Amino acid sequence: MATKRFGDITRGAEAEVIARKREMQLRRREKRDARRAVWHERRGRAMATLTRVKDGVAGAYRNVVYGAGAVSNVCATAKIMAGSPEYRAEIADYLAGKTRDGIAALDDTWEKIHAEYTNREKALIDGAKNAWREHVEDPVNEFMADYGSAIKAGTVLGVVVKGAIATAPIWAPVTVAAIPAAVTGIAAGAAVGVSGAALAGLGYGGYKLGKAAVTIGKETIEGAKQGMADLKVDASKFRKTAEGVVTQFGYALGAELEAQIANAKQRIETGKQEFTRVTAELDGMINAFPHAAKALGAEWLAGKLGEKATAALQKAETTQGIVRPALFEAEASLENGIGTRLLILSGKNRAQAAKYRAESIDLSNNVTALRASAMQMPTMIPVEQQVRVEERIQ
Amino acid sequence: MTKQQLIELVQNVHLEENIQGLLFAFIESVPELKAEHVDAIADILQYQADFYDATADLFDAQAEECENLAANMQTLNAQEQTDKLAALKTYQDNLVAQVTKKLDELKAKV
Repeated sequence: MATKRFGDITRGAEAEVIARKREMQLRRREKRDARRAVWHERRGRAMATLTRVKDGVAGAYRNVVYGAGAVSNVCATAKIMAGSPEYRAEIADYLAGKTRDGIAALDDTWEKIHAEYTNREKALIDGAKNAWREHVEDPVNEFMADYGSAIKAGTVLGVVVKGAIATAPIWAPVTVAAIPAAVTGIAAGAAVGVSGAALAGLGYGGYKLGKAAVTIGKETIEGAKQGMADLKVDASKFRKTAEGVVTQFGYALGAELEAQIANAKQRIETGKQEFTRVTAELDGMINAFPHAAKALGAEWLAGKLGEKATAALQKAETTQGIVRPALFEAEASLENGIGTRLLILSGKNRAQAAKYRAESIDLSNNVTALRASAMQMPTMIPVEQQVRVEERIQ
Repeated sequence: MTKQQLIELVQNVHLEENIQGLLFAFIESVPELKAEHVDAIADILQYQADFYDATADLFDAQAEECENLAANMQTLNAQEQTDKLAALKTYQDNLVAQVTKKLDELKAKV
């Protein structure tokens, strides 16, 4: 059955309409795409044109800048040609800066030399001070301390001797003489020693003499006493004999014997007096002996101190003998070092001066050549015009 | 004289670097070399020569003072040496002042 139903016809028409619409839609899209392609192409061309324009502007700007630079150069040239003070002042400023740099370098060199010299000088002086303190000042101070002790010892000794003077006036002159000798024992120790030794010898001799005198005196007295006793016995015997036999003779003999007795008594008295004197003298000597021993001690102390002082002085002199040449040597070394550096610096300065002098001469020669060459060259304003201008001015 | 000859001359003489650069720029910027241009460069070279002379004087004076001090060093004690060094420093300061003054005078002249 080929009968078409109404519904089928309707669906066919609808499909046709849809197909036409789709076709029209496709055509519109194609046209749109075509227009877009044209636009893209035009836009690309426009952008390229714009870029070219921009580049052209940039190039023109560069040309302008270059032109400005050229103008600036021309201005600078004009300034030089006109002998512009500003331009030359700029050069002079630059040269002045270079000079100041050079001078500052010289300053630095001198500062270093001066600082080195000052440091070495300070080290040298410090070393010398330390050596002097260690080897000279300290020993001398030690000696002075010992000397002070000696003075104190001498003072104490003086007090002791004064006490001795009070108790033994007979030795006062000797003791008094010993006081200054003890006090000044450092300088005159030997003299005091001799005095002390002599004093000791004298005391000891006196002591022995007195001892012998006492012995003799005692023997004399004993002998006299024995003689007197014997005479008394004899006198009694003779008196009885005389009374009994020869009275006159006996009396005479008795008188003679009595005279002998009186003589013996006198001798005994004299012996006693001598004994007393010698004993007193001996006592004085015995009392003075400790003072003489003290004087000997003072002499010994003074001698020791004198030896110590002499040794300290010798050490100081020896040290001075070592330190002074070392100081001179160090000073000479310092002087030579500085002198050498100064001569080296001087040589460098001479070399610099010669270099600059040679460059100056070279430049001056070129200046002469340039002037001569300029005389042969054309001028910016012809000479004839210059003459006319000068004539007009006149 | 051509520009090339002038450039070679400036290359061969001893000049401060920036001055040499300025002179090159000047020569290159000149369209045609004239006597005034050569004279202007001669002025600059003469100025540099005067400056080198002044600098050489400075170094010579300094060297002479060093030699004097070195010669007298042996005859001076430590204090005198210190004084002498101080005097030399003062002398040097004065020298610097004199050179500065001279440069100022040169600047004023140009």
